[in-house]
Amino acid sequence: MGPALRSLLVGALLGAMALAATAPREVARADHYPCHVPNYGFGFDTYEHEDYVSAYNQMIDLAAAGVAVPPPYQLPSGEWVDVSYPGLETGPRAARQPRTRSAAVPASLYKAMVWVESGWAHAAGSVPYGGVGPVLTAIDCGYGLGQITTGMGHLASPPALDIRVPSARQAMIGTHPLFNLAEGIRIFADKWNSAPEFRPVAGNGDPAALEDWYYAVWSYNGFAFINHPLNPNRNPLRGEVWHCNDPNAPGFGTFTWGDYTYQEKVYGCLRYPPVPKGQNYPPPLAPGGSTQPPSTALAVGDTAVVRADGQCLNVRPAPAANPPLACLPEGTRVTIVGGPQTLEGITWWQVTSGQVTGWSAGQYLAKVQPPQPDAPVNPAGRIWPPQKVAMPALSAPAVAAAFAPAAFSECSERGFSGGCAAMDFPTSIPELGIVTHSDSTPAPDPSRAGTFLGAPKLQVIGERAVTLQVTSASSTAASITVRNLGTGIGPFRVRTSAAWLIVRHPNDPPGRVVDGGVAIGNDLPVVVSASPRVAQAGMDSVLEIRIDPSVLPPGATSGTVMVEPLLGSLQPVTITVTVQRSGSASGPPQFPFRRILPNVTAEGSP
Amino acid sequence: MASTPVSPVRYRTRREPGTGRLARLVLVLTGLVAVLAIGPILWGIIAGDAKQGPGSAFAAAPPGTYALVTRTEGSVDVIAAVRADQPANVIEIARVPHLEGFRTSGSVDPAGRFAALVAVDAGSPVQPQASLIVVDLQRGVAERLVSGIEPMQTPLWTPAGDAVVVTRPGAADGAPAIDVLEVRLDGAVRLRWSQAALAVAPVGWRDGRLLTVAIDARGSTLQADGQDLLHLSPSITRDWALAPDGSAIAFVEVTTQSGVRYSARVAALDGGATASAQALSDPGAEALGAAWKPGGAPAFGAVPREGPAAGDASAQALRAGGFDVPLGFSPDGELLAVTHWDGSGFASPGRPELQLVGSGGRAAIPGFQGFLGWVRR
Repeated sequence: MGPALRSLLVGALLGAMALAATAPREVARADHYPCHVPNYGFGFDTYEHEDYVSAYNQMIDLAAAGVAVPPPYQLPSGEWVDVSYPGLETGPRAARQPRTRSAAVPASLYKAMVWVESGWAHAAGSVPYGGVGPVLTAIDCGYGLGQITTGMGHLASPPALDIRVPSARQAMIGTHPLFNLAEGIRIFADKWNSAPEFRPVAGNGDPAALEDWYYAVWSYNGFAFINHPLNPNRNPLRGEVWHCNDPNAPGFGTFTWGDYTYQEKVYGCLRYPPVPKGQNYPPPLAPGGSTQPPSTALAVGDTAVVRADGQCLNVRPAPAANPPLACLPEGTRVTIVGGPQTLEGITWWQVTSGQVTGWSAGQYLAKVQPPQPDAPVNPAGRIWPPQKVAMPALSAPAVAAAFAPAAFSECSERGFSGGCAAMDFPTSIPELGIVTHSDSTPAPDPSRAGTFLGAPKLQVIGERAVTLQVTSASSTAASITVRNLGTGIGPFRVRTSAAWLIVRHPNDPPGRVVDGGVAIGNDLPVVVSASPRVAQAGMDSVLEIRIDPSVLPPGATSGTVMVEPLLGSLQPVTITVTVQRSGSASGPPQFPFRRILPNVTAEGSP
Repeated sequence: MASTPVSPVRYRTRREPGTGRLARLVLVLTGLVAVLAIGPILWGIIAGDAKQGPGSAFAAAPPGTYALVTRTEGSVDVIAAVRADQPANVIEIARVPHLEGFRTSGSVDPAGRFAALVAVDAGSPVQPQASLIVVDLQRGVAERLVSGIEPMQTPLWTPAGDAVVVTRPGAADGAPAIDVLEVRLDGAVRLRWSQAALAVAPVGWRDGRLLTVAIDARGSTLQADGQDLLHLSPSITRDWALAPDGSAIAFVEVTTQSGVRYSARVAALDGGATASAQALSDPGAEALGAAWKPGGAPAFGAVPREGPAAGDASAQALRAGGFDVPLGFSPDGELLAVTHWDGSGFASPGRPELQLVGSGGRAAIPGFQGFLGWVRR
């Protein structure tokens, strides 16, 4: 190697060192970790109702009234399934009355909470409405519509059966939306009932008063200082409640989700309920609540929001001119600074947003009305009727005193066991015009629960004894199908006897296992393709049993897989799995043909 | 004390060195390309002017005083610099991702080379978790230093600019507590102390000691290295601003005795009693935001309690519709960055706009909402 080459290589080395020194070490990006050990999430499948607005409205109405699910029932294994409604204590701190099941949770309040928690989705985003697939699971192992975390860990109380096996209660919460909502209501009621021993009392402890649920709502997200309304990291100008993405609500376009406490989000969606996904918000009502909405015609100086059916809106250098300067995302707020001009049949407005000024098509711009905090909310098209509700009147000394740091600190330092009396505050001060409000939701017809529970009757199709060949890297698979010969959602649990036995769907991504699933009866439509929409009547759950060689102990020769129906007909099915190690002479004989009748014969068998 | 690795260890596969003619040719060409590509960087290092190397557009920006600002675009925050005398001329530096619905908070290091950001980038929307992100303003590179810290806080730089102080939820004796962390730029994390409190906010340095405000049952207490220094208030306080010389702290007191009220306060750190701020005279106003003018007095924002706008109360006493919430004076004290609200007060604040206010008037920084600090280059 000559001196020139050496110098070049030295130069290259120096260059590489300089490059390494200046190269970014780890560019920041958003992370989304799975639930982690020891709280590793269970793999549940579920069914997402296609007509989710109607279905989940009814389900929440039933759950809030405590009539959604059957009374506690026992599985053949002896395990109980209990997500029944506990009832509510009532009354102020000094005159608290025992629980009564006749006191209901305000349904609209829980609807708002479910919207905040999950956006009214029980299944993961990959599952179309009307489809079957993995349940929505958050990083903190919150499951489904109510994002249930309480009692969903492996060490919960009552616990899972095993690190790999959910309890029947956990499986029901993960697989069945009605049970999920019922459990959410049960937890919400428990938060309410934790006062006055462990939580402060808002108002007179009247469950019918929406305002009296303030601390129960706070507690659903964790009774932590981050949700304190005077937390110094929050902007005091944010207003009373979150706008819930209603472009006509105060704070829209200025403040975002993260600016508000949990209570402000929930009560905000109670006051300004969302519209179904993909729909436009109605214009605000005229002052006084007139049903005649004000003009929505755009004019220079107006503020508008991009409404382009989820697409972005082009901003062009001149009307109809190409190429576009930018494409503003759905929901972007713009100011009208010029126009209109009509070209090619389109009304064009000159808009400005941030650094962009140009021309956009007017039909994709929705006028933002100057919001008034007390203005009546137009109920048209919303998922549930808007509710009048007041937030804690912080201008009133009797209310403000409840939010002094000493009051919260005393409550917190005692582990909330002191009852937090200093945080009690009135929700009704008539002399100041402060009154409580009640939910306008009518009581549901309890018989509707049967519609959502159905009468599932599960059949497990497949051999009851299978032999799987395993190598150091893989195994063969045995297929089983769970079919619902009855109606409704047929939830089931999968229980394996050993960690090396894995049950999954044939096309599941690596790492996913099925700990619980659903087989859908023929009375329910199941969407198997969202675009174009293809639906079928009912759906089987097709599973395969495999062996994970990486955790297969040397001496293991057999195990079992149990499929346990959890609702309706409850007879479990056990499948015995025999291990056939590759190259081993042990184990039962291997047949080259698929068995067609379990334990009886095999096609072409010797 | 814990250490958080900055990046995963990377392994290379050892290979037999090439001995053939083609291999030598590849080596030569590779070396030549590397020299050509890295030469300017090497020259910059040798010349001691690495800041002028390739990087963000800000690295090539002309000298001047810049405001470092942020804009939230969905799940990304845009970090940009605007020159004080040309606020409409925006120089984008970096984009930092986060969960949708959140926005970053942050601060600039004393030398104006880095910005520390707290970004909600993990957890779920209802259980958010934040990370400390450091942006190299010259290179436009964002790097995550540590995760699991408290969202929405404003990180504090050490005077030397070699570390950032942040807080995270912790536990002391099994009870909820707050950990005060010092995170070095190489990613090493030092737990300075843990304490039981509702909130702990790092606010500055004095005589090498870290000043924090702890909010607990006593209200708000200024502490030095975790030890009580001065009881500020029996109430929650906010918007703390330490005087440039460290002699006093301005803050907003959130009292609850007569309904929630926001009052401007200044406390001397020599143990003097907390004094009412001089900047406010309007009894119908609430105070929000505090900023110290270099060598001068603190400025507070005056938010009309109700009724029509009463104008701003910035130190410049400029009149404008709406009201201002001060964010920070430029190093020379000539400009005050404010959030200007065009509404009438708490009940109806209107829309915010980031503005630079000086004796010559006020200029908007359109499209940006967040302010990280000033940079002089």
